[in-house]
Formats: sequence, structure tokens, C-alpha cells
Amino acid sequence: MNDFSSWLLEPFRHEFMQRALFGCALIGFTNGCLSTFIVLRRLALMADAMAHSLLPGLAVAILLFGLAPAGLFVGALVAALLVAAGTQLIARSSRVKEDTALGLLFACAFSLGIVLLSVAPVRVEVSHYLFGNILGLANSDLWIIYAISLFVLPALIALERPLFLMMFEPGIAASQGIRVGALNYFLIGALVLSMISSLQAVGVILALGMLIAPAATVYLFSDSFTTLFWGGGLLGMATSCAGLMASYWLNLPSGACIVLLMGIVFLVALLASPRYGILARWFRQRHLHEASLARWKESAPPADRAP
Amino acid sequence: MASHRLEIRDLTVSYHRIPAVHHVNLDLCCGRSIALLGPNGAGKTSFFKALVGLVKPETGTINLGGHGRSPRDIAYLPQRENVDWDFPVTVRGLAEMGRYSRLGWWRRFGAADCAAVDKALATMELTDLAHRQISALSGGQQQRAFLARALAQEAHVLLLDEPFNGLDKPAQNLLAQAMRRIVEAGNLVIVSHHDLKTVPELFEQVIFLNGELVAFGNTAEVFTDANIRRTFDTPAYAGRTHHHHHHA
Repeated sequence: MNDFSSWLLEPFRHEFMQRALFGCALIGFTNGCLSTFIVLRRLALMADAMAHSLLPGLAVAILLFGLAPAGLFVGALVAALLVAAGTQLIARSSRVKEDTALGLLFACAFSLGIVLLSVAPVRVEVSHYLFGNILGLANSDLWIIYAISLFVLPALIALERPLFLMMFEPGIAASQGIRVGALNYFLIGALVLSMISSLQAVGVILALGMLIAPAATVYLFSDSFTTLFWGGGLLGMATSCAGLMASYWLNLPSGACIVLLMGIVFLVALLASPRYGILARWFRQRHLHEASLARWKESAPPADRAP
Repeated sequence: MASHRLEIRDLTVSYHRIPAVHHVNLDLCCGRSIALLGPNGAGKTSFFKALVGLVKPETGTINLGGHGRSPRDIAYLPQRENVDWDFPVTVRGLAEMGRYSRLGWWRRFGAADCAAVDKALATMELTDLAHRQISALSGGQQQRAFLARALAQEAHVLLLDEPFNGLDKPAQNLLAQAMRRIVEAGNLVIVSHHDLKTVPELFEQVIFLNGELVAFGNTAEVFTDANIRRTFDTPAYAGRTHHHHHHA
């Protein structure tokens, strides 16, 4: 018992670990809640593209203001908005479809970011952008994370019903007077904000993992939207913190550890979920097939089966 | 309630300036079941979408019971292919959605809402299946689950897009019974329908639509070979290429 509590508490004698834990818990929870919407609206690839397109904004901000957090924040936001607007512009004014436009723009945006960074006066590692540095969180990073969570979470909760209707049947929701277009923009906005909040801390790859894995996992267990929302948040928080601990004791990169842990949890759920797991489905299919066969034998009148 | 009327005046719906339905005038009485018949591309779905407010009509007005229509008075049941059946919602959750437009964003689900949902599920004989996820239902049960939502919404007018498609005979009969109960409660049910053979047994009135209104009236009088031929054999108006074509 004593061993366990010291094992649990020892890392947090370091202040950087306390910050990291706080950051992980908050980002994990907010992104976990948001992941519900990404999974149900099938936005995972869009989120991926958006995440990569933030780079040129960050590069411009670094060129103009150095590494100041406020500058990085605004830069990322502007880049995301430009790519989103550009995608819509191309998709609506030509025969090129939205996914093509987005894919093209994000590849270009990422490349532009790399070019801009190569001429930046400060040396910035691209791997830092991809995986962040949760062990190096500054107070300003924590404040940004805190503020964004404080905006995104209550907004999502307040808009739960219209969002629920919109995700299930956008057309019907619109006919009931829900402003589907505005809600969509809100959702994209929330996505970009939480990505930015995770960027400094955990980088885009981990942010993406956190924005997809939790709800994807809970989705295999539950048929309730509310469970998906809160369960995604809690699972995101739990796996982030657990991954952080694991990375400390195994001396591995923390961001990658967290994502891998989320992947493992998802894999276990995929196999073993009692309702929608692969094993359960395999067994149930056999069972159902036999049951329906028996029913057919019972109910079909002999005349029907005569040749 | 049976005295409610749905009045459609000069309704035209178009996509990119090409009309899908044009200049339709109809006077429909609540408490009836009506078949909407017409070939593919006749504008049946456009007609429904305009009624429920999913598309903005080019011209015309829609009135229910003497006043304009509020969104919750008219419920639209989408075709089955257009629903995400893996969505995490149960039969009961689906019916509860029908109450949302009444409750707005905030108000708690009250006893009256629960009662309305219970009643809707009971009318559709889904009480035992209330906790099933919607993909774990048969085709007929899925249709009735959406009907339960329309009932919970207390909609006066129900628009059903090809609900009988792909159902086997027993499921069709159950759905027809459910439809009859809804009509007897004073609602107007309009059903777009493919299977002409079953029209006389299922519907009191028919609307023949092919771009424009071809005929409307009681099934016994209007459901004639001449009208069927007129509706299904004439190419629908489809923009410039059929410019000089005139409907009879």
C-alpha cells in the first residue's frame, strides 16, 4: 500500500509534473467531450487536416512576434479560419468537392509552414509541433488551456439538444428552426480552439488522438449520447493521466505514451465490448442464426416447404 | 381536430431555377390517409420537403388550420436510407426528440413530456422495445419508431416518404394498422407510395403528382386507369429540354 502511494505520488514532487498532470486532465477532459461530436459527425479526417493547417499560422506568428503564446494563438486561429474558408470557397465555386479542396489546402498549408519555419530566426522543431512538450508547460499555457476549456465545455453543454438533433438529422433539425449552419461553425470553432489549447502542451498528433479516441471507445459500449459525452470526457482525462504516469516511470516520450495508451484501450474495447465488440458480434451472430433457423422450422407450415 | 385543413396554394419548388413541383393547389382535410403517387422525379420528395420547411418554396403559401404552419405541426419521416442507424439513440430517445421543439434548449423533461412519449410508444406498440438501439429493430419497427416521434411531437400532419418500401407483408400490415390509428386520432397522413396494388386498401384519398398536380380526390373516384396512365406515362417537366411540352 505504502509502495503504491509513493509510486503514485513520487512523480508529483516535481513541479513540472504537477503542471503536466493538470494540463493532461483538463485537455483530456475537454477534448474527450468534444470527441463525441467528431465521431458522430464523422469529422475525424477534417480534424486531422485542420490540425496540420495550423502550422503556417504558427510560423508567421513566430516570424512576427517570436514565441509569445498570444501571438501563436492568434496565428493558429487565423490559419485555421483561412483554410476552412478557402475550402468552402473552392467547394462552392467549382466542381471540386470539399474533401479534395481540404486535402489539397492542408498539404499546401503544412508545406508553407515548413518553408516559413526554415527562415525563422528561432529554431523550432517540427517534432515539437507534432508531439508538443507536456513536461515543459508554462503558466501561460495552463491559463490558455483553462480559459478555452471554460468556454468550450459550458457552450457544448448548453447547446446539447440542438447539437444532438443536428447530428442525427441536419435537415429535420433545420426545419425545426435550429440554425444548423451557425451550429456547424460553432462546432468547428470549438474544435480549433481546443486544438490550439492542446498544441503547446501535447502537439497536434496527441490533440487528434484525444479528439477521436475517447468517444470512439465509448461508442463501442453505449447507445446514449449523454454517456458518450461525459464518458468520453472522463475516459480522455483518465487515459491522459495514466499515460503521463506510464511515461514517467518507463522514461518514454509522454505525448506518444498517452496516444498509445488510448489506442490500446480502444483496441481492447473493440475486441471485448459486450455490445459492439468483435468477439461479442462473432458469438452473437452464430447464436442468432441458430435461433432464427429454429424459429423458421417451427413456424413454417409444412405445405410451404414441400417442393 | 378533424376540422383542421392543410391548404396549399400555388406551391412551386425549384432547384437552381428548374422547378421540381410547380403551381400545386390542394385543400386537404385532417383525419385522412392520402397516398402521394407519381413516377421517380415527379417531385414527391420536393413536395414533402417544402411542406415541412426543408426547402424554401419558390412561390406559394402553406396554411394549416387557418394560420401559417409552425415547424412542429408537420413531421417528416425520411426514407430509411437517409438515416444514420448507428447513431447512439434508443427508441425511447428517438421519441423524446419529438418533445425537444416544445422544450427549447433548456427546459427539463417534465411529467407531461414523459406521458406523451409513453403514449406515443404504446400507440406504436413499441413499449417493449423502448430500450433498443434503433439499428436493432426490424424495418417495420424502425418506421413505427419514427412515427412514435411524430406522435410525441403532437404533429397534426405526418409526411411519410416511402415507408412501405422493403417491408414484408406482416410488417406492412402492422405499419398500416399504426397508420390507421394515427388517422383515427384526427391527424393527416400523406404517404408517398410506389406499390399501386395496395393503394385502395390503404388510402382514402390519392394525389397524383408529376411535376404538377395531375389529379386529387377520393380513392374510389380518382384512382382510375386513366389517371394512372396520365401520371406515369407523361415525362415530368425537367427544365429547358422539355420547354414546349404541355401537360394535359
